[in-house]
Amino acid sequence: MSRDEYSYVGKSIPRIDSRSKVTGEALFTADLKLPRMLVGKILRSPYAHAKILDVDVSKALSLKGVHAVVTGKDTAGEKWGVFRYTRDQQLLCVDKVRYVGDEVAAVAAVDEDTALEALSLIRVDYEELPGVFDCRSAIEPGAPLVHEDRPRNINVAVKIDVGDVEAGFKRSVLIREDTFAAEEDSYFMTENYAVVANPHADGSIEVWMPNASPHTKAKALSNALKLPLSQVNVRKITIGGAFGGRSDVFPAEFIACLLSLKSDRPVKLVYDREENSIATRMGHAMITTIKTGVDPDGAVLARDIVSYLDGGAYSSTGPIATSVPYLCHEQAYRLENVRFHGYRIYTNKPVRGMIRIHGRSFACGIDTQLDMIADELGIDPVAIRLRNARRPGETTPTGSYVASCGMVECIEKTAEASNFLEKREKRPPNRGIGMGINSVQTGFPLGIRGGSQAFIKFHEDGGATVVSGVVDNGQGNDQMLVQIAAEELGVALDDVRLISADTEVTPTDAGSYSMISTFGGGAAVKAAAEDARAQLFEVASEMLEADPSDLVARNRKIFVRGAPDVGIPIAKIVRKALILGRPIMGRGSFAPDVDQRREWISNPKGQLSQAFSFGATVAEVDVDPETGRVQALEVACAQDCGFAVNPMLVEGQFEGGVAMGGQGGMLGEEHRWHQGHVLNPSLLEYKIPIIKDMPAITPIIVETIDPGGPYGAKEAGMSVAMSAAQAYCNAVGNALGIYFNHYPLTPERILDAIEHKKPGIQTAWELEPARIIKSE
Amino acid sequence: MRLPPFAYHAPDTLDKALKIKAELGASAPILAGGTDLLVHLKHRLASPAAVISLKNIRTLKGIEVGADSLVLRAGTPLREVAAHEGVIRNFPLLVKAVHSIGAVGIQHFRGTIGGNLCLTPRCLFYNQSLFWRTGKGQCHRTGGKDCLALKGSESCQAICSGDTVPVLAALSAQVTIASAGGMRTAPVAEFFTGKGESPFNMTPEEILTEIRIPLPWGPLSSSYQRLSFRSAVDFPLINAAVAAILDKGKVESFRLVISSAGPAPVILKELESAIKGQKPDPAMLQPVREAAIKAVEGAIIENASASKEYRVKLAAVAAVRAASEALGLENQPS
Amino acid sequence: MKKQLLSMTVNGEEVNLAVTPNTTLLEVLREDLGLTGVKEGCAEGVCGACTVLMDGNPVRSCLTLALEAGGADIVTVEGMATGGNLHPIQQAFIEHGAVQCGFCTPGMILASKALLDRNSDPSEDEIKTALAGNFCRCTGYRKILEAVSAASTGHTEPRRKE
Repeated sequence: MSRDEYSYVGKSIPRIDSRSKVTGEALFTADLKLPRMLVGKILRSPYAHAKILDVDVSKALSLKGVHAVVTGKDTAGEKWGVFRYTRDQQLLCVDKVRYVGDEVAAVAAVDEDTALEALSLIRVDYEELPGVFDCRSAIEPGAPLVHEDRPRNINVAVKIDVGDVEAGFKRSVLIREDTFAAEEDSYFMTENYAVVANPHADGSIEVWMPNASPHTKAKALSNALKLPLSQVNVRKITIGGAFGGRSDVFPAEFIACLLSLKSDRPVKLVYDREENSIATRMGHAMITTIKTGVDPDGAVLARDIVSYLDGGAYSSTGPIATSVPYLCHEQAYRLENVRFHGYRIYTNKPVRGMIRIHGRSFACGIDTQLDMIADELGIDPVAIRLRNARRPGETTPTGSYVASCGMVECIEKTAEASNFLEKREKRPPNRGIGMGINSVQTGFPLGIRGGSQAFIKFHEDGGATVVSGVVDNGQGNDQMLVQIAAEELGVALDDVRLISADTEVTPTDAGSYSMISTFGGGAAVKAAAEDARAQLFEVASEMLEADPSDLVARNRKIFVRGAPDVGIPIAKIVRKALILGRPIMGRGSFAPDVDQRREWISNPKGQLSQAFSFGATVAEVDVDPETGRVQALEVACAQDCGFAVNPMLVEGQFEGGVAMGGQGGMLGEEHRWHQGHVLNPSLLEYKIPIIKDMPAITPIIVETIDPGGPYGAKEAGMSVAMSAAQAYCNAVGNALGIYFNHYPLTPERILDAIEHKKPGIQTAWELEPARIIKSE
Repeated sequence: MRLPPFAYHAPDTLDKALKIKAELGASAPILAGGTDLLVHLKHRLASPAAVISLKNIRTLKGIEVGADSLVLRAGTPLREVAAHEGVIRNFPLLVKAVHSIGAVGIQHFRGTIGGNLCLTPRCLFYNQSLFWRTGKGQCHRTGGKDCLALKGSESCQAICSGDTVPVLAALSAQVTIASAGGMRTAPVAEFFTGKGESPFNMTPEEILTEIRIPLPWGPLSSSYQRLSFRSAVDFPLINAAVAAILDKGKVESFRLVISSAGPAPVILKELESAIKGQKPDPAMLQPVREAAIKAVEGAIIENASASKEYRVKLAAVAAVRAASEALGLENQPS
Repeated sequence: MKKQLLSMTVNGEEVNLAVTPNTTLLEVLREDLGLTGVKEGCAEGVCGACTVLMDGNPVRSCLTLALEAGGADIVTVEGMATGGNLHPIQQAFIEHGAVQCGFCTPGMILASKALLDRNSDPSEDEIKTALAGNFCRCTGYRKILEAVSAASTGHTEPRRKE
C-alpha cells in the first residue's frame, strides 16, 4: 500500500499528549501527591571506596516526624543485576561502598526538612579504602579491587572473532592501527529521577517512576521485595526523557517501596540534579584501539579491535553496553574478517549504562580512521563509505540477516543535500565538513520480555480503547500507537483511547530501551486492530451481505470496497456484535524473529535484531583557531527508518539526535573528575547544547519498507544521533587537517591539537593502545 | 531543593536596611536578585540568620546621567542597565557585558548590576552541594585551613566571575558603600581584596548602594571580550575589557583589565604608560599578549571548567582581541 | 520559623497564604497551589524549566523567594489558556511538534510569551536569544524555533506544511 492510501500512518499529525503538556496538566512523577504521603531521602556514600563499619540510625529514628528508616540490614544484601551472572549491586550497601553516591540508608518523614535533618542524624563509620578511577590503573596487577571476586577489576569480557583476520591483514595493501579515547557522557534528561510508592492493604504496591520498561521494573521489584509480580503495579506516568538512562533498575525504587511498606504510607522520593547525574547511570568512558587493513580501493579486508570501557562500580547493562558499539559498526559496514575484544572494567565511579551514542571512541574512531585511510589512498570520504557500506540482503559478521538497508541512499542524500564534495574541495580556512555513518538495532534478544502484546476493546459508540505495554519516554510512542490503531480500525484519532505502560493492566512489552517500540509494540497494536477489524467485518458482512474480504473500514464506517456511500457506522456494528454475543475484542502480539540462543558473552552469534536502522550525517563547522571553539553551521542528516509513521515526530528525533550526538556529544559533553568525585554533576557545568548554539538542520527521511515492521517501520533516530557525533568529529578534523582521537572535542582539546599539530596522516595524540588482557 | 531557615526583612528605606545590617552583620546577607545568593543557600554555603531584601527600597534602583558621571544604583535590574539610553550611548562595552550574563531572557529581570559586581567568586570545589563537599573536607571558605584546588594555598583562589567587573574597572568606576555610620566611595579596582574567602573590601555592616562611572573626557574606544563554552548560561572562562581614549589618531589613555582569572580583576598597568601617546599600531599587540600571560599566570589555578593552561591561553586571546578592537587594529596584521 | 503573609495574583486570581521565608516561589506554586506545570529541573536557575512570568517578566521561580513575589502578578503555564482556548503559542507548540517529553515545555512557552508580548515579530536570532536560558534535551530546538516563529505576528500561516 502506498503512503497516500493511508488515513493516518505516514502523516505528520500533532501528538495526542501534547495538549496536556502545553497546559501543564501532564503529571510527571514528582508532581504526584497522595494522601498521607511521606518524603523519602537517601543517605549516600561521600567516599569513592570505603568499608562500612557501622551504621547508627537511632537518633534519626527518634526524630519527630520520621516514620521509617532503612539500611542494608533491611535488605539482607539483596542484589540487583540485569543478568543472572551480573548481580553485583546491593540495593542498600551492607559491607562497603564503591562510589561517591552509593546508597547507604534512607528515611521517610513528614516533610523534606525533617527527612534532611534525619539524614544528618544517621552516623556511618567508614574506613576509607584506596580506589581505582580509570581503566588502565584498575587492571594493573595489585590494584585495589572494587569487587573482591573480580580479579583485575574485569567485569565483562566480550570476544568476537569472525573469518580470518590475520589472512585479511596479509592481503591488505594498507594497515593502520590507531587508538581513540572518549570521556564519560551523560543523559541530562530534563526531568530528574523520582519515584512514588503506594502500599495497599491487600498487600499490593503501586509504583510510579520514569522508566523505559515498566514490566522490567516490576519484575525486579517483585524479586527484591519477594512479592508476586501481580502485586507490584508500575503505573503509567509522563516521563521527561530517557536516552538510555531510564532503562536499568535503580536501588531508589526498591528503597521507596521498602520505606512505604515499613511506614505503611505512600512515599515520594525525588532526586536532585546531582543525584540524577551520579546515582542513576552515565555513559562509559572508553578507549578503543582499531587496526584496519584495506585493499587498494579502500575496501576493508580485516579489522581487529580492542576496547576498554570504564564501567564504574557495578555491572548494570554491562554485557550489552560492551557489545553494542561493536555491533552498530558491524551492521553499518561490510566486514568479513573481524575480531573484537571488549572489556568492561570496574572503577570506583558512578555506574555506567546504555546511552544514545554508543561508544564515542568506537564510532568516531572507526570513521576517523576511515577518513585517514581514504586520505592515504587518495579516495574521498563519500567513496570510501560507499565502498564499505552495508547493503540489503547481506548478513553481518555475527550472523544477522539485514532485510532492509538504505545506507547507500542515506550517504548519497546527505552528500547531495550538503554539497559535500564541492564544499570539502573548496573550503575557507578553518572551515570543515565531515560525514559519519552508523547503524542501530531494532530490538535486542530479551527472552520472555522481547515481544509485545496488545488488546483492543470497543465502546458502544464506536470508540476504541487500546491496551499496550509500550512506554512513552517523550519520543511519541503513544501517538504512534494511536495512529496505527486508528488506521487499522477505520476510526478517527479522537475515537482511540490508549491505556499503556501500566503493569497491572497492560501486557508485556520489550520496553523502549531497545528501540523496538514501533517495530514490536506498534506491530502488536496493528495486529490487535486487524483482529478487531476482522471481527467487525464478520458481523458487517452479514449486515451488508458481502464477503468479509471485500470490506473496508474507514471514516468510522465499514463498507464494500468501492462503495463508501452505503457503509454501516462502526458504532452500529459494535452494538450488533454485542446483541449477537460476539463482542469485538481485538488481540494481537508480536514476537521478534531473532535467535533466542544468542547471548551477549557466551554466544554472540545469530540473528540479533529483526531489523536495523541506518543513518548518515554531514556536518559543516567553523573553528576559531585561537580558542578552539567550534561553531556548527549546517547539518544534514538522513536515516533509513523503514517507514515514518509520523514524519514530524521522526524529524524531531533526528534533530534531537543532532543536538545530543553531534552538538553536545562531540563538542563538549563530558564529565570531569577529581578522583571519584564528578566535578560537573550540574546543568551549569555539564555543557548540553542551548538553542543559541544550534546549527540549521536538514532532516532527510529515507524509507526502505522493512518486510518485518508495521508498514515497514523500524528504529527511528538513533542512527542519526550516532552518525552526528562522527560527522561533527570529522568536520572539525577536516577544518584543521587534524585526525582527532580524544573525545569530545572540547575547545581545550582542539587548541592543544592545533598547537601540537603533526605532519602527515596520524592521530592528534599518541595514546597508549588498548590490548588484549591475558587471563591469569 | 530546600533552602535553610532564615528570617526575611524587606525594609523600605536604605536607613532601615543599614540598621538591620549594623545589628546582624554577616549573618544577614543582602538579597537583590537572588540569582547567586539562593544557589549558595541551597548548597548550604551559607546559612544566615536572615536575609535583607532590597525589593522595597526605591532609592537603590535607577540610573542617572550627571554632568560628569553615570550613576547606576546597585539594585537596578540588568535589563534596565542594558536598555538605558545613556548607557548605550556612553558605554557600549557595558551593554555587551550585561548581555553576556546568564541568559538575556531570564536572569536579566531579577539579576542586578550590584549583584553582578558582588558575585561570589566561584570555584569547582566550592560551588558544589553539601553532599559533594562532605567527602572532600573543608576549604578556606567553608571553615577549613587549606584550598582543595591548590594544596598549600594560603587563601581562597576562587574566581571573580562577574561579566561587568573588568568593564567597570576599565572605565575607572567608583563604588559607593553605605553603612549606618555614613557613606564612602572606592574605585572598583580597589573593591576586590584578592582573597576568595573575603573577596570585597566591605565590612559585614556595609551595603553597596551605587556604581558611578565617570563620563569619558574624550572619544571612548572600547571593547569587551568574554570567552566561554556556551554562548549563554555560562560564566566566563576569562573576560577582558579595554577602555581607551583615542583622539586625533593617538591613544590618550588606555586601560586593559582581565578578569575571571583569580579572585580579583587584574589591571595591566604597565601597558598604560607604554601605549599612551602612541598611534595605534599592530606592534602593540605582542606586548599586550605577553603582559596578559604574565598577569594571569600566577592568578589562574585548576579550579574552573577548563584547565589552567587553557585559561591562560584564553586570557592572552581575550586581551589581544579587546586591545585590537579598542585600538581599531582588527583587520590589520599583527 | 515564623510564617509571613503573602498576597499575590496567580493566573488572575488573588491568593493569600502564609509562608515561611525560606520558601521559594516554585514551592508555593507547586505545593500550596498545585500548579505542577511549574517544573524543577536544576534548582539553580540554569535550565529554565521553572520559568514563570512575574509582572510579565520571565523569572526563575526556583531562585525567587515566595515573599519577593508579594504584590506581584504571576502567570504559570496553567494560566495561558483562556476559556478553554489554548494560547496561540501553546497551539503552535502542538502543531509544530515542538513538544516531546514535555518537561521543558511550560518554561519554554512562558519564555516565548514574555518575548512575543514585547516583540510580536521577532527575528530568528531574537527568538534564540530569548530562549537561550531554557534547556531542551529532546528536540534539538528546531521545532521550538518554528513554533515560536509561527506564533509571532509575522506569520499569517500558523499551520505547518505537510
